Amino acid sequence: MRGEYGYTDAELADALKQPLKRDDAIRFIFKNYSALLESYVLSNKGSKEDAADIIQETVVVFIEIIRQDKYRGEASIKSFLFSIARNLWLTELRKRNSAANRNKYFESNKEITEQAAVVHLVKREHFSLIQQLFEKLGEKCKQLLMLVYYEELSMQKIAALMPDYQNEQVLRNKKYKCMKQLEQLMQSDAALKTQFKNALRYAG
Amino acid sequence: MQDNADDDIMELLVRYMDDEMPLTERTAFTKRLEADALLNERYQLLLSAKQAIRSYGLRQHIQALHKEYAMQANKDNAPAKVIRPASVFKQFMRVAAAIIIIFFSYGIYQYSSTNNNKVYNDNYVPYTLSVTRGDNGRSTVDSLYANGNYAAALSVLNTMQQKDQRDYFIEGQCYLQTGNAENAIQAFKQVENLNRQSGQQAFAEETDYYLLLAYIKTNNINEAAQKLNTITSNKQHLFYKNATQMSGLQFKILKMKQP
Repeated sequence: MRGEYGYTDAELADALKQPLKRDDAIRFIFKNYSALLESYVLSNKGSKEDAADIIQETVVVFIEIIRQDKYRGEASIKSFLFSIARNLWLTELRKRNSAANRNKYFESNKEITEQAAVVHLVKREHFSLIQQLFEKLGEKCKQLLMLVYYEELSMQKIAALMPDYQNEQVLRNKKYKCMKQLEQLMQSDAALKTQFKNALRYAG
Repeated sequence: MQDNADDDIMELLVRYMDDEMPLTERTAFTKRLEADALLNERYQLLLSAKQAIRSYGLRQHIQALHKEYAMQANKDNAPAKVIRPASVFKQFMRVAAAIIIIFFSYGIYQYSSTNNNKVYNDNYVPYTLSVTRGDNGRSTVDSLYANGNYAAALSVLNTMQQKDQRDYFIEGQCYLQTGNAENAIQAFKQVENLNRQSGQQAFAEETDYYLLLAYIKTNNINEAAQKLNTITSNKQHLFYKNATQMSGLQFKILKMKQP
């Protein structure tokens, strides 16, 4: 079925994989599905701010699943997004609420339609810890690693954006050092190491 | 020593992860990872760090897009501001006020920008001599004038014992060109005197116009107004068109500005 702006589910999934089409596809999701996701959070003891966080996180998770080709199209994107949002919100409630509430909510969360989403959500907990450690790095390291791994720019382009570093080799050396710093922070975080092993088990 | 070795291993792990190794080196390092569980665990940790950084960037981007979307949605849902149609009287008053403002703005602009030099420059047209005379001295003056060498032309004219209307007229032009309007007036007046004495009308209409300009330049506005009247009252006058194109408002402003 086509959405308001002419995307079928397959076209939307395809657009999310393409950097030039991605932002329009994200706006399409906000426009067409955010009301559904928001009303779910609001009707389950969440605030407007909670709903905004869950909507954003849902889209992040969905794009990562799409990037890894793990969205198989068995459920519609609408159902899939709803499933992700619900799991994210229940996880959040589990953190916040008492045991009584937790049991109540998990009763209604037995049927999870997409295994990929569950695996990804476990990974997200792990990523969240790494991201907290990443934020502890120096500004130059954060900038460089974002340009390398998120923007996926070449060293030549990064050298133009970070003129403090004389050449591409100096930038490469800086990248190794930054990754080493991050690794050391990760190695010294016991909770993260435990979670990492759990994540590997889920993924495996 | 230990640190350097570890730096080297980190470099290898990152190069492997970022696909920066040549094939043979990559194959060898893959075997090393398979054989070394601890090294492989470090590699897996780095891989998850890389994915976490990508996810961090994506989340920031999504947050920015969602903020933009929410702002737009709020704007679209905001109650529209009701603009009541203005009454006919109010509309009339607005138009009248706009006209008055435009009128006064134009007046202020004209008053502040109008001065003798501006009116002179707006109306001055360089005079071109049409015929070169046979007499040696005079052909030299014509030639110097034609070439824009007004100071030299004046030097020659000043040495001449006897000058006719044409000589005085060229003298007046040369003075205008060299910025000496007072002397130009004297020269043009000589043209008028000789015409009066001889009963001829040599360069009479040309002199009317350039004398008018010289009066404007020297701020003799009353004399200028008389000359303007002489020209505009004669439709056959050579400079009738030029004179009628002069702005009456500018003339009034020049009069108002007189001390």
